[in-house]
Amino acid sequence: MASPRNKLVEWLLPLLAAILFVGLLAPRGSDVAVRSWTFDGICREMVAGTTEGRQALVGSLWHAPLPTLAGLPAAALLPGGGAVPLVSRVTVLIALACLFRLLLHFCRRSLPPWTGFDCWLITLLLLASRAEAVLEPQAAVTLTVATLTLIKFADWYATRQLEDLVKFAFALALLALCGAPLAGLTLLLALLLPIVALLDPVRRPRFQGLLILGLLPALYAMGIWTLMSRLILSDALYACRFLIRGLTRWQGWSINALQFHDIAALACCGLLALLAAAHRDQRTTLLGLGGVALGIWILVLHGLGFAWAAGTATTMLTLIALLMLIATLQAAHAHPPARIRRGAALLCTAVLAVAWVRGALQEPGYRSITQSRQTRCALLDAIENDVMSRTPYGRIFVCSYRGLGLLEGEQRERFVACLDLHVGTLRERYTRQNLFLLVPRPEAEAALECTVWRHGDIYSHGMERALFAGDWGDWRLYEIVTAPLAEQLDEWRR
Amino acid sequence: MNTSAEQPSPAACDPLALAHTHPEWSAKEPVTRGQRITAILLMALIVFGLIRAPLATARLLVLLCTVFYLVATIYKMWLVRSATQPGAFFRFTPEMIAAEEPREWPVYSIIVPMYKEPETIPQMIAGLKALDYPPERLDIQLLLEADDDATLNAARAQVLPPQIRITEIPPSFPRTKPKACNIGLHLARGKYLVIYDAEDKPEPDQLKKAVMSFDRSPDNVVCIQSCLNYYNPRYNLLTRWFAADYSAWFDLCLPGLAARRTVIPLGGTSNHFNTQVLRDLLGWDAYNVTEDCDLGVRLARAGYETRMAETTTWEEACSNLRFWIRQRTRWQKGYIQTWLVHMRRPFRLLRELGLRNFLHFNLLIGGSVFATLINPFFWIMALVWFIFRPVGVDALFPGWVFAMSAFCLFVGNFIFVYINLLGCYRRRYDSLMWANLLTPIYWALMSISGWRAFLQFFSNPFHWEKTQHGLSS
Repeated sequence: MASPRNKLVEWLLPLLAAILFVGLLAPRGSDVAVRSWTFDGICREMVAGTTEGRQALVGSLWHAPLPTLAGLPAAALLPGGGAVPLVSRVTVLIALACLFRLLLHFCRRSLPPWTGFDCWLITLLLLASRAEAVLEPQAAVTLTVATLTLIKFADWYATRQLEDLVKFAFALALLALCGAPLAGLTLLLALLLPIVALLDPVRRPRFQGLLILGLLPALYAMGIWTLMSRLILSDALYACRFLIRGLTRWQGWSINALQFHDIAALACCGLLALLAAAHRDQRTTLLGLGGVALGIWILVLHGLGFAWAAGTATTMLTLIALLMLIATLQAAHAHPPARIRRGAALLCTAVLAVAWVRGALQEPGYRSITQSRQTRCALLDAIENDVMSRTPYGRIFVCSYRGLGLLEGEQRERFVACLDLHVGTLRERYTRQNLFLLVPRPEAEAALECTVWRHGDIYSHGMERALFAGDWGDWRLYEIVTAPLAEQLDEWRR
Repeated sequence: MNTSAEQPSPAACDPLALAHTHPEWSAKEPVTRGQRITAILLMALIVFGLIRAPLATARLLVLLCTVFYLVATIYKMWLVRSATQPGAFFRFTPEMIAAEEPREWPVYSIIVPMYKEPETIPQMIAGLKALDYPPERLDIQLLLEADDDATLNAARAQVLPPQIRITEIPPSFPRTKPKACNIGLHLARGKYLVIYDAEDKPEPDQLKKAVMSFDRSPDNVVCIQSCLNYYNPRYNLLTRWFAADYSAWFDLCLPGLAARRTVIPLGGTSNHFNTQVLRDLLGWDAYNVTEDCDLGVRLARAGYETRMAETTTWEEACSNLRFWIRQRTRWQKGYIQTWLVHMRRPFRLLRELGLRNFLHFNLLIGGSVFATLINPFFWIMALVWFIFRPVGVDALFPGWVFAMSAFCLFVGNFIFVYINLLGCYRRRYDSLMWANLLTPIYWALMSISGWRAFLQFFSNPFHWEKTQHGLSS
């Protein structure tokens, strides 16, 4: 039977995790409400079986397939516009519960049965208190999968068990399907597998087998993504086209790109990894390496000009620091003497807490989902009225993934979501109508979409056959100029 | 031990006892009247539905097949996961075997049915002599057909050690391996009995491991199945696929079943039995062309269990495509026979096996053949959809059905390939793994033999398409 002291630790660990979790996991650099609406919009389109939904599933590295697929059951089971925020919350709830469970499992290996319930309870309380600002669904799913992958890699590294390798391989495939936010971590783990296999004398003779078993699921997942992209968008590399733009505008390495909380988390990872290495705790040491790799990945994102996309990596870095902190505390509890490890853990807790408070003071308040909904309704009304004042036969194509979020839950016939913009096709399909394009500003992830890499001139002077027609905050309206048809000319002449 | 003078005569044995005394357990009557009526009604219902409401009926059929695929995929994953459970195998190290000595090992009977394979005799006798078991406790019978002069002469030309004797099988219908085995069982003297094929090379300590497994099992465990694998896996692409398939089946799936204490379709050879129980069950069904699989189910129905021992018998993988298809045809025809025999009274089967084993039986025996039969239709539909994108195919996969089908197509198929890779890795066949990325071609060959088996089941149900050995040498 567990002693009262052990029981106290079993209860305190989830609590500590929860307190740090709620404070530290708020995303940075992205608008939760906008991304949540976009996520919901993609899920709804998928459930409705539209072409835009299928295109959205495979067309972006930032709205990757796996988080969308994870949200589909919730979107299908919760019909109607009113239930829309629930889709996000349900997805986040499940993802966070899994994450908690993973965290605690990693720290204690075998858990008493009630900890599952414990995790759910804490997650529910978290969501009840900060439901709209804790996490967006895509980040939550990505973080869960990334944590699972890291933990399974650490397990395989320590145990050499085939079962751990298989779990790692499938987790890596899932992580690959989470797209760009943590692509650096995905690449690192994919590279680490052959390195570990080569360096370990026990594993080296099985190098070929390990490589196939470990990497095949991830390669297959990428292959399927590419194939689907070819089938749905007629372009196998559609989701990667933006990379050319990023690579040609490399801004260089700058350590200043790291925020205070990044540096704090990195320092904690480094310190605790050193401590774990000194105590021959391979799993925790490897986690620390993962943390350092994420720090490098954040720098790469800044260098590519994708600083806005570093939120998930930053959160993951914090999560790893948290994970290592709990693992260190647990190790100190289980394997005395513990003075140095407890001291280090205390120091790290203090540093992370300062980072949390500092971040909370500096971060702007997040717009709630309700606020966001009111704002976008007003925007759509204004644009619709403007178009109506020009022509009664107007149809507005809302471009980009943000467009899916803008239209989410709206029953407006005049607006049509449009991801893969081909003006010629639109003109053929909607003859006798006045067509308009609603395009987001080329900022953040909207700067990576086909309106930019295929029709980049639209932002400077309006592209061929599209004239600037108005500006609404983050959105610009263009009118597609269409030559009148012969019968229209005849009609006018009469 | 009995001397040959006390040996009962083969003529005194009824090798068809099961079919004579319990016809309901035998495949002698391939399809019963009730089954025929049910099949006709089902077909009529489908045709009626396709005429009256073609889209709805087609959708329903697609839905049922998709659910089957989904369940089969999850089931296979679960089985492989179960193979990592502690009870999957009996494992004995050489030290553990040595620690058993000195002990009185029980008399062990080995039966080796052979037909028209004289060239394998020297190799087979060498393999039997190499067994690490006290020779005086062995009772080995070479079961040779009385009219197979070539094999008989080859066997007689050898200087046989005293523990090996030749048993002549009187020619009669049906000319099947189980009929010969029944005579061998009748004449066996051992407490335990095992079957080996002529080209088998069992690991020398296999018999001792089997005895130790029996010793450590509860009384209702009456069969120990050894792993089977091939000694010529790198001969050509076909043998590479075949070896991976066997590795997945014997090293992952069957241990998974053993770990869950469920019904196990026995492999063709190297199944070690408690002789008396096998006699009580009237041996093998001489009319079933996969008599081993059928016997595994009958053991479970009688309340007995089968376990796996981690010891391998090395066989020769069929390296010729024509012979491979014939061998697979026989196996799949036998699975059809077995499924139909035991599903004659489904409720009785359910009562005897319990729900869990009933589901296992249907998924393993009926499900595997069903999958090979319906696979071609779904592959063609998928190809047509990829290449031509016709509207009609979309209509068959509404909403959730599409989601499930896509999962089975992209994830399920990959998982089946991956399981084969796992089997290779576990067998240390790392160099075979690349070849197994082409496994879908192997599945297509399986479907060809599946359809061949299905048609042959109606035209020639008891025909035993004998596997040709010695092709790789």
